[in-house]
Amino acid sequence: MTRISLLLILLPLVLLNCRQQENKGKGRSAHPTGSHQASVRQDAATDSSVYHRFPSSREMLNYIRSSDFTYQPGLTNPTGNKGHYHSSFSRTLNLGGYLTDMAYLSHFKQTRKTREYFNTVVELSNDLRIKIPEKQEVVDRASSDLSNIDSLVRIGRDYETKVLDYLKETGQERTLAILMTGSYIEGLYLAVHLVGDYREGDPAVEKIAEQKYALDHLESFVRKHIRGAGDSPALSYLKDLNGIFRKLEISRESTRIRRDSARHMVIEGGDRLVISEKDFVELRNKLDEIRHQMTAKNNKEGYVEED
Amino acid sequence: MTNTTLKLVVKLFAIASAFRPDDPRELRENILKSYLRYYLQEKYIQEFISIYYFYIQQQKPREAGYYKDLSLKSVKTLRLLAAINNEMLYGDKMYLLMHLAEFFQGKEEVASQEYDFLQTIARSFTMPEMESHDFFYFLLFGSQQVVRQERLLKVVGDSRKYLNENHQVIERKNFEGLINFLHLPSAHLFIFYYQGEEPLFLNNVKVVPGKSYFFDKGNSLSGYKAGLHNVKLEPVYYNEVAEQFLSGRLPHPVELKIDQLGYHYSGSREGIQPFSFSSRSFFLVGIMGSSGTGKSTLLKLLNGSIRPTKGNVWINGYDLHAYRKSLKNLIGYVPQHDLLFESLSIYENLFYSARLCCGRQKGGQVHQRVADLLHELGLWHIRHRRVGSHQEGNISGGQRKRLNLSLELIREPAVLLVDEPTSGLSSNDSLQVMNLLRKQTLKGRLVIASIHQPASRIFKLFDQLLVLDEGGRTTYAGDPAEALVYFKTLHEHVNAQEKECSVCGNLPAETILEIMEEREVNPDGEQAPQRRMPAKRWYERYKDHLEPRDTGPPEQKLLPPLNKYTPGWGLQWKIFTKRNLLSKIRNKQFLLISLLEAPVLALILAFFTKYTAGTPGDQYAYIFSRNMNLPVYLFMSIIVALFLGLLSSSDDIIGERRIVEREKFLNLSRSGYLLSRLFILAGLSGLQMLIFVLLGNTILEIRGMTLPYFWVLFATAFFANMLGLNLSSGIRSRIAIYVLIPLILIPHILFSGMVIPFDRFHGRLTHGVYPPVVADVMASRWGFEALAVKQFRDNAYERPLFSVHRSESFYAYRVNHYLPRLIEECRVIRQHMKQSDPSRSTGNDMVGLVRNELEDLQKWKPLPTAVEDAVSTRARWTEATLHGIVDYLQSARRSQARKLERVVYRKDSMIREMAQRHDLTERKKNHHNQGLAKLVTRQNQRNKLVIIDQRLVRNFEPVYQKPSHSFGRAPFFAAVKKLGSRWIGTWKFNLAVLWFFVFILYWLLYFDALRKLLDALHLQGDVEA
Repeated sequence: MTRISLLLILLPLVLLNCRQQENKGKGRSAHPTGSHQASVRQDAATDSSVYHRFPSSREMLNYIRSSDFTYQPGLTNPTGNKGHYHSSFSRTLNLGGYLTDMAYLSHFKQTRKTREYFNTVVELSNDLRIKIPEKQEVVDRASSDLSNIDSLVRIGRDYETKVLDYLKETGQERTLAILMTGSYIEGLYLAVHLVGDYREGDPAVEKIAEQKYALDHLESFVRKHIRGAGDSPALSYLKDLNGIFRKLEISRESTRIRRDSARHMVIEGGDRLVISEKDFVELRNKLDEIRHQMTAKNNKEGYVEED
Repeated sequence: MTNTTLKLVVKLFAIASAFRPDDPRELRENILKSYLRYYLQEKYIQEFISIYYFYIQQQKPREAGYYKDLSLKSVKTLRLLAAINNEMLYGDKMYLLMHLAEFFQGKEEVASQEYDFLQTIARSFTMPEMESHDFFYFLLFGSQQVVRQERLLKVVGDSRKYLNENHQVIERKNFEGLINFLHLPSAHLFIFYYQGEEPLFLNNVKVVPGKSYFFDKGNSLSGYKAGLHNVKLEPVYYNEVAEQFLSGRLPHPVELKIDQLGYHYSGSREGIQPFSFSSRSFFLVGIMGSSGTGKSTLLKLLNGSIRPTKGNVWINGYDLHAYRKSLKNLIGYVPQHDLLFESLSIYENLFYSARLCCGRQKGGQVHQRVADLLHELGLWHIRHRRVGSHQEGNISGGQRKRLNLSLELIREPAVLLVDEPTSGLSSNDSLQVMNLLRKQTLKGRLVIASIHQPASRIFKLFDQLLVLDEGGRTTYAGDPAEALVYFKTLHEHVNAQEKECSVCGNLPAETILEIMEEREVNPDGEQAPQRRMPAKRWYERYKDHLEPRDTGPPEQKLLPPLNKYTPGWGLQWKIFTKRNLLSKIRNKQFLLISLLEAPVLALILAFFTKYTAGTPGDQYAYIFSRNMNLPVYLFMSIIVALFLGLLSSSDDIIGERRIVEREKFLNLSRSGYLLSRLFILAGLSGLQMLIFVLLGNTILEIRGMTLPYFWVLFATAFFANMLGLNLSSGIRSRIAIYVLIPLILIPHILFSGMVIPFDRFHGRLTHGVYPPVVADVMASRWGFEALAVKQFRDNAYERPLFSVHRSESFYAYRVNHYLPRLIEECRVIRQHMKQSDPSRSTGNDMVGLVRNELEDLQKWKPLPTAVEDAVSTRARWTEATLHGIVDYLQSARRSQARKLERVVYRKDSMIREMAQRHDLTERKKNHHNQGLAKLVTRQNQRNKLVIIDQRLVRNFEPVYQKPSHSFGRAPFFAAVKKLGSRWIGTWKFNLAVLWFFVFILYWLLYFDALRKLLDALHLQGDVEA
């Protein structure tokens, strides 16, 4: 758990780095510069010694940005659906989802939407009794920096960090597990839909395949901390996804080092997961299904905010 | 009498003359003139004498016998009598009969036709037959021929000669003549004739021996021994004669004795100066004096409603104030002002008064009594007419007065006290009312009436007169006619001995006051401010010369029977209720406004608080859960209830104050009266609140809360009813009451907990987490809290989850606020320790705080040994201690967090189960209100806990708190209150508090506490008219 928190703390640094990278070339590159870091695989059963970043949605989104994807409206879970989540389980799951949506929107400088999702995140975390130190000050800052997207990005990030810190500090692993699940699913969903159609050898597609590693550890974390039947949907979502990921082929290549155009040392090769078109489509369909269940309304009629 | 009627009378005299055509013309003319003088001035009499002769000439000469027969049977004669009958009062008819009979006097025999002629007229005039025989025999043949000797009274010098006679006797020393009186009950008067040689005067007019005279109220016979002007005969007064006849009919007459009766107002020497006086049944006593001389005060002393500061009032030897409760039943008191219900009819006013005095009689008997009395008072023909206000003029002033009198007369009091019975009336109405009072004396009552400046005709009706001067000083007590002589003599008038005007018979009562109040004249011929004779001197003269010397309690005698038909409490309540209900229903304006106020206010309130958040499909769509104005609606509903309750009750008692005082005087049940009022007000408030709730809740789509809202609003409105009744009973001015209403409402608004949260009041008022004490006496605070909590807690969405939400809140408080705060305190303590902070007191406070909390915490999570020792021994803390405490607190926090997760998991199970049966989103949308949730959880409250007396006190989500105070004190919006060891839901508890307030206010009202307080503080003015 401590290692995970270490990773979580590193996230802002990663993102900051990514922003700096933003201005260096717009084209889609095979590998995101500076973003591919060594990862150590280990048996999923003993996650305590595994270093993996998760949720990797931020990283994914950062990579998506550097891949020069454009903003697609209508992908995020409408904030109006918040009123349909009554249990803590569905609220927590979707809080994770909304946190990811907020990051997505802020990346694409959707100021108004970002603000709206920030408010939703605050309301949901209030409902879940997640106490953020100086929460009111954070909220007030968000209200005052209404048109400044950069501020909103920082505030949103700050808020998310505090949420996770709180859960860690108070030992609410169950809640953390469910929140991470929601965040992961939403991040993967956004990535898959941004990619669009399958293209063989597309780095973006390959990156999606690599999410399997984070998923393995997330699944074991969730399995450890959920309570009972009420929380089982979270695990079943992850298992279903992992079921698809396990079918992916592993391609082994020898590693090599080269200098890129910017004279940076880049390590290439090694083992990598290969996702076929069939797998990609299956994954996308499964994500759609899971994501729908996760965000499903509990009423026969209600309203959905139109983007 | 009209010209036409007089001519008809003269024609009748002409017909009578025809029976004795041979009688001297002069004789008949003198009889006619004597009759006419009563109605006409001398200069007009001759004209009618001429008319008389004209009628005589018109009659054709026939044989005497023929004529006599004809006159008796003549249709014209009967028609003549019928015309006269419709124009003349009964007394005048008797007067006419007496003079007609004189035509046939003087002869030894009276022809049967002549007698029949007189009897025909008597029958036509509805004179009772036996009485008419007594009458004619007395006039024609003398008193010895009267069959019913008990109808006679003789005034003689020596009564021993008449001991075995059947008639009444009055003795007068030194009187050698004989005065014969005959009583005419149907006319309430007497006729007399005198036999003797001593000069006798009827009100200063010389009496002709053998001639018959009427003897009426105010008349007196006086005289002196023949040739000895200085040897006066004791006068014979009307009341003395009347009493001889009437007292025998009354088994238990009343004797009133006033013995050195005095009274002074608190803080003043003014009031009534001590005086003595006595009177008895059959007497009409007048209390005369200028304004402010104490007439009304004297009457109140006599009716027992104020206690004298000196002296006694005895009734048949019983002290009025010692036996007040019993003797009050004998006394009737008619105040100057109306005691009528304006919305009720004449009949209803009297009927309900009758029921209250004689309710235990059978219904038919009560109706009969009422009917008889209305007939007697001449009100029967307008009995169904609504009384109305003075301004409306539905009934005349005289009719109002008579109706007011009837309210007392129905009780048949032995003593009747009337305050200014003629004030504001025309002279005719005044006379009518006074005649009515006089009639009451003939029934055996003692009637005492205060009067300001009576006209002569009224003045003559009195048997006794009391004159009051400035400062309540009695200046005269005795015969009214003699009063004039008394004052004129002292004032050295030229005609001091003249009582009434010899020409018109006027008895000028105003002369008495003029003489008393006459001012000195200064050398410039102007009136000086000071009087010729001050009141004090008049009073001293009275004390020296007129006041009875007989003091001390009189012999006790049997009292008249007391009314045994006064209804019991239950029946009184029923009668009060019916009367009050009818009075309200008949007041259409009041009814309309009362019934319309509630729905109109509900419409306004609900419409303007109906916030339509809208949906993407419909911008005006209303969603209950998003109506942020719901708390405002709840609060304003309470204010509406208070307002309506105050309005409908604050005018209730003050408008009937005098009636209430009268009914108190009659020993009627105060609780019966009050409870009947409350019953009606409760019904009205209940109806208003029901309409309000039904309409308001429907508009705002508040579901499933009709009855709970109704009960709270009804209790609040009823509380306001009680408050209004207290004001109405205690305060004498309507304007003062209306001014007080906002002074009552504004604190209720301010201290309701809605306008200003309690923790934002002045620091000296607040306690921290409890509402200030001043708010605890505001009905609005209890009502608003009850509504808010009920709506939040018991709506269909929240109710099944409330208990688990409360647990969740408890653990969340500990995890998020309480334990982190303690950890923070430890951090600060550590800083203090490092800095060797000179402000050691701050550090000590924090240590004290943490220690206190740890003592509580260890009850559910044991402290580590090292920490426990430091806490329990109160040893000085070290870094290591603090470190240990912080570890303990963090561990405790994680433990509570796990419990929180368990509670949340349990909650999720319940939600899933609910979701199987209901559409939760819809349910929440329709039942759960966000605005209210924010209010009762105090979401915007920054300080989730406060420090009070070195303890951390929760200031977080009060609705989920379980208070620790055992006497019901709890944070505002707490869903439960603790009483002893029992938990009681806030809705129930607050309702009980409201009803407790009602209970207290009822007893304050019953004992009239407000009025007594204001009187004691001298803050009240006079009673509002």
